[in-house]
Amino acid sequence: MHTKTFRRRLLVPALVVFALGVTAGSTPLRAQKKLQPSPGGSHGEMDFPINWKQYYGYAEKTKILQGLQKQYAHLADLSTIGTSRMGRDQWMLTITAKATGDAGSKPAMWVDGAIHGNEINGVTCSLYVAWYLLTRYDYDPYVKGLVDRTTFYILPGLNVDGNDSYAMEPNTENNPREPYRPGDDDGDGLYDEDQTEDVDGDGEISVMWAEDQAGEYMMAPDGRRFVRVADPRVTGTRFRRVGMEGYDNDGDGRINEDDLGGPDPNRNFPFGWTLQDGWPYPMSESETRNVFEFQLKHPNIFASFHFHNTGRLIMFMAPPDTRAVTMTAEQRTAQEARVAAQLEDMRRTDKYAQLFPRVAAPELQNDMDTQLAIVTEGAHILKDYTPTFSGLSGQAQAASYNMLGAFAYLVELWGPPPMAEVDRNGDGRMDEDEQQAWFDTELTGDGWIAPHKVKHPDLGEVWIGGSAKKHTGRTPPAPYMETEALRQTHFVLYSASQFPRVEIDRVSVTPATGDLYWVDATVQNDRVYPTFSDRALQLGRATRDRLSVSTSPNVTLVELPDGVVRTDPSNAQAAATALTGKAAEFRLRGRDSIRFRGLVRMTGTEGWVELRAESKFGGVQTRRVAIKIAAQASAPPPGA
Amino acid sequence: MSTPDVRPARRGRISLWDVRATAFVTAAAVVAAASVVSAAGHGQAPVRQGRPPVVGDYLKQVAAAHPAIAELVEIGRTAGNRPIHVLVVSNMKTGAAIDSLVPLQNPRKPAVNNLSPMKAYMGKPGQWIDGGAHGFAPAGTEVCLYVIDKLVSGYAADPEIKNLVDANVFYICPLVYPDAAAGPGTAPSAAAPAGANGNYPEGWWKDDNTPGGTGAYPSSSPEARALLEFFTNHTNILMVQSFHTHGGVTLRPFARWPESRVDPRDAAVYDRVLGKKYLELVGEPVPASWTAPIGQGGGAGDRQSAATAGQPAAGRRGGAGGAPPPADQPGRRASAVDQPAAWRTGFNHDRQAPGGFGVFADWAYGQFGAYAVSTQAWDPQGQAKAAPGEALAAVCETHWQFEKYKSTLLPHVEIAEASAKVLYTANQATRASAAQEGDSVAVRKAGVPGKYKVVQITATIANSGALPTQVAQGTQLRGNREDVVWLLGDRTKVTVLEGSRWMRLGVLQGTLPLPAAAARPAAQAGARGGGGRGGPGGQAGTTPLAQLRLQTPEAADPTQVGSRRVVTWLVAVEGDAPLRIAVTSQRGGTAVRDLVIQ
Repeated sequence: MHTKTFRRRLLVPALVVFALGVTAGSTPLRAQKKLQPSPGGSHGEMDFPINWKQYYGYAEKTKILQGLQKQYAHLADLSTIGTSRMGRDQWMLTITAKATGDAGSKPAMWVDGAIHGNEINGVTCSLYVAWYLLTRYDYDPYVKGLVDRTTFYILPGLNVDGNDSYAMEPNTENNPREPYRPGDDDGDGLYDEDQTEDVDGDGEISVMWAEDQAGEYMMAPDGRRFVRVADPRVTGTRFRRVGMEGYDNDGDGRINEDDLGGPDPNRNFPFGWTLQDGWPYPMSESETRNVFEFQLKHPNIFASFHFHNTGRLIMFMAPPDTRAVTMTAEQRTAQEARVAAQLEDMRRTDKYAQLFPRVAAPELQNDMDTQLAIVTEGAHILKDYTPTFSGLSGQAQAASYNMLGAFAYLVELWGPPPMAEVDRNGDGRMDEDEQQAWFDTELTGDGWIAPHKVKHPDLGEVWIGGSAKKHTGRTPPAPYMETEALRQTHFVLYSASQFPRVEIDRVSVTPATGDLYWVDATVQNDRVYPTFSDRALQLGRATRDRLSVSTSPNVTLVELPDGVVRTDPSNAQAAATALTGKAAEFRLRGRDSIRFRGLVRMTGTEGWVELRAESKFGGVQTRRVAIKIAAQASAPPPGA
Repeated sequence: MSTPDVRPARRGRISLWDVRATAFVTAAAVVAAASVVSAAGHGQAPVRQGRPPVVGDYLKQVAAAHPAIAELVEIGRTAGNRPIHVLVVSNMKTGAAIDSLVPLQNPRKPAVNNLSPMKAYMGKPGQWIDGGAHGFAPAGTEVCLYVIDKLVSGYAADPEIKNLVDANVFYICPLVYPDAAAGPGTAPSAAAPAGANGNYPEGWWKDDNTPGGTGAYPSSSPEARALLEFFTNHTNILMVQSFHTHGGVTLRPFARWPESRVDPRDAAVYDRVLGKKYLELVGEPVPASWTAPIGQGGGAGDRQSAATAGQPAAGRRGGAGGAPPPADQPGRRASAVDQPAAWRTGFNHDRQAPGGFGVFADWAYGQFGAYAVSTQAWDPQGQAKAAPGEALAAVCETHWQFEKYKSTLLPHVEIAEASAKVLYTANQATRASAAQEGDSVAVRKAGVPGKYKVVQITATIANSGALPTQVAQGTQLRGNREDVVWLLGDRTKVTVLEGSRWMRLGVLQGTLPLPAAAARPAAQAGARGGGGRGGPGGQAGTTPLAQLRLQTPEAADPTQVGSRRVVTWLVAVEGDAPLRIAVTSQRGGTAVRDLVIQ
């Protein structure tokens, strides 16, 4: 018979209750106001409508940016990072949920577009990223999660002078490419003295042709093009290709030989800079210098996207190839063959699979692996884009990675029309007839400049035309703009979604003996990116992740020797990093976890242990474990 | 050349300007200048509070007092928002800028307005002189002020100085880094911990692609950027001199690269012309190998440079000059042992050595294309740590003499001869063209009908200066160009039949014989324009642009070398339309001559 007395006597601390509490290192997230569960429903597009079927000049773009900031003031700030040579502001949107923390406290994605003045599809795409984040925040949990956790620095238009000109004025598809530093391209002592001009006043800069029986061209039978004469015996009016529209401004017998623009801005950054490519000196242009100075002052930038045109390429920064010094030519050839075979095998099940023969130094290999994972998914998102290694030579993304340690991507937007639309004979390429058909069908007759006669002050009568308009080759025509921008946005957001997220997982407390308890915890990063890049570590710019322990006054951490503790005496593989009085410092790679074990002593019946994981880019998380010893009747003593 | 009097000051505290203040033109300038330098210290002269504004005030007063020959330009602001001033000294009424000579028509609309007209003095050879790049280098600033004073005060009285100021332009920046000079604790160390020097792009990176120079990146300091930008916009500079304070030595490029990177022709100019003169001025023996005439044959002396100078003429270490030149051996250390003490390279073969990154003079030579040197103007060791004062006066005088000498070497292009002779007259400016279709011939007559004189123009272009118009590899550097000659005339009345409106001349050599060009690997980039697209790095945009060109300006005639070029045109001139020739050299000036048709 059990008696109350007996029960009271046997009230021993036999039941330990653990309660876990988790706190993020920031303000609780706000509820989503207009959650849209239906993929067929509105996601806020009409809250701030923008016509994505046109390119915007500086004035219109500025108005849009100001409007976005005003309407989404709780998510966006608008600032200028500086001015261009011609005094235009380089407007930048800083987007993050202000309620969840300051922009500078969160890992950041840098997005810029159109460092080359004529590549204004990059303006569209970077502006679209901003618009997408802001308009969908209240509707889309994915976007909300990103904007709550991440900061986006978005510069829709880096080369603002050139961008405005390309959008608003007649230009070839190649100009103006550079900032407006005067240059003496032809070496005649004059600067920018012979630029392109819209001779026929049609708003486009097309090709000029002169009738010339020594010329190599004839008018095509359709009257739309000039075609090279393959057979010299063919008779008829011949034409000479004079060049793009323009006048001989300086009277030297040449046209357009010293056009507007100085150094290539994407050869003007400091890493890998050369005089020949990046003249006159690194960061000589205010447009590029403003960007890099901003980046230097914002060490929370974790990754960067730079939009260019054209080529449909994902040009990613990766560590240098070591094979030139570690392999013979024969070894290298064999290795490349192995990689090619392996890639072929991988693509049997995933046509977007990527693999490269490059071998990074061991201390940088994780960067290579990380980039491979990201661009593989990028290829999947963008479908017909090809990942390839980026060059150095003073390029912005090279400085981002090599000087700041940020993961960096240059995306070459657009390219020839989609093959599925133009390749009528299925030979895998677009010929001139197919291109004309594309103009007629997909662009409903737009996109081509028919030849027409014009009186030229220097040349007499010339023909102008027979070329595509600028918004077909360098930049996509209106019907294709939003599709391009949406896909790029998805890639940028995917990349941001894979910023490291450090969490404390699987915390457990296990009675050891007496008043001692084992505390086990796993700290993980379930994202693709590591908590910092190999390059950042190499540069000394990395901040190591930390895990620290605090306790209630009646709980003390028993000092364990630094290093590894075995969690299962019978299993040598079951080990964890020892938690000691000082914070543990470590690094989590992508999709990585580290187990920790500590030993605590508790007096009394209640106490707690708190773990705090801190990662510069992976965030802060705190988990508290409450330990309660509850009275419980034990089994009756023998013989009772 | 006598050795300057560089006696230590007897009691210190003697102001250079107390001695020679009467040289100043205005009383205000005297007061300002005296306040600038009157508190001379010992050995390492203390930096005085309020110094930069005083220097700036002085420069303003000089510019105000001499508007015909001086102009003050603020070339930038420091991290501490102090102005960086350059005093331009040149006769403002002489000189011609090429953009004022070539009329343009049918410009693009709307106009971009991204450039301002060139100043007339940009059409003259330029000489840059700076001081105070480290702030704590007061002697350098003093030398600059002394040079300014000599130029502006000597202009009216000294024909030699007048000639130099009329023909050349001096850009003098006495205080490159006024933040540090403003006093202890005033320099924003994060921006440029060592001042502007060390922050230039030449040799800024270490071999392992980690930073070697100062600042977050090359040109990150506003002081370096101010100078870089000024030079980019003043490509007429051929001589560059930086004055620092301590060391008593002049260093010429390179600090990071062995002598093999210095063209032997430039080495000859550096050492056997400039170095020889400098050693004479400071009283150090000149190496024997530098005293022989510089020939074209590439004799031993022709290749002897400061890196391997060896023995002085006075036989300091015995033996004669002319040992086989190991100068082109990469990695060879150029030590003080085998170079003159006061004139040498800064090269150190230890690639991990902490110094020598991002040096201004190296950039000015290696990437800009000027004969650039850096002088530690005053040697406190050699001067027994004497305070400035009389010693400083001697230092200033020595280096003024050096600067004056350099300015006499500058190239000057000129049209030595020109003639325009009528060969015959015609009724149309160009040949008619005919297009035949079947039995029908359509004749097209170009040009406006009228009486044309077909004129043969012959001109001889020459460089009367001692030095070539570019350093040896100058036109290989992006931003530089060859000398060119323009034929100018009313485009509606002058038709060029043979030749082109402007023609390349190559680089006009000076009157000073230099060693023959050594056989070098093919240049990566040929002579060409000053930037923008078209360079090797241009990539996108290059090909389409090349297609635009109707004709290529005639390349410089490879058979014409040396300091003279003969050029010819055949033109059709309607009526009495005037003709003129303009020769424009980036660093050799611009000259114009009206033609008289005979």
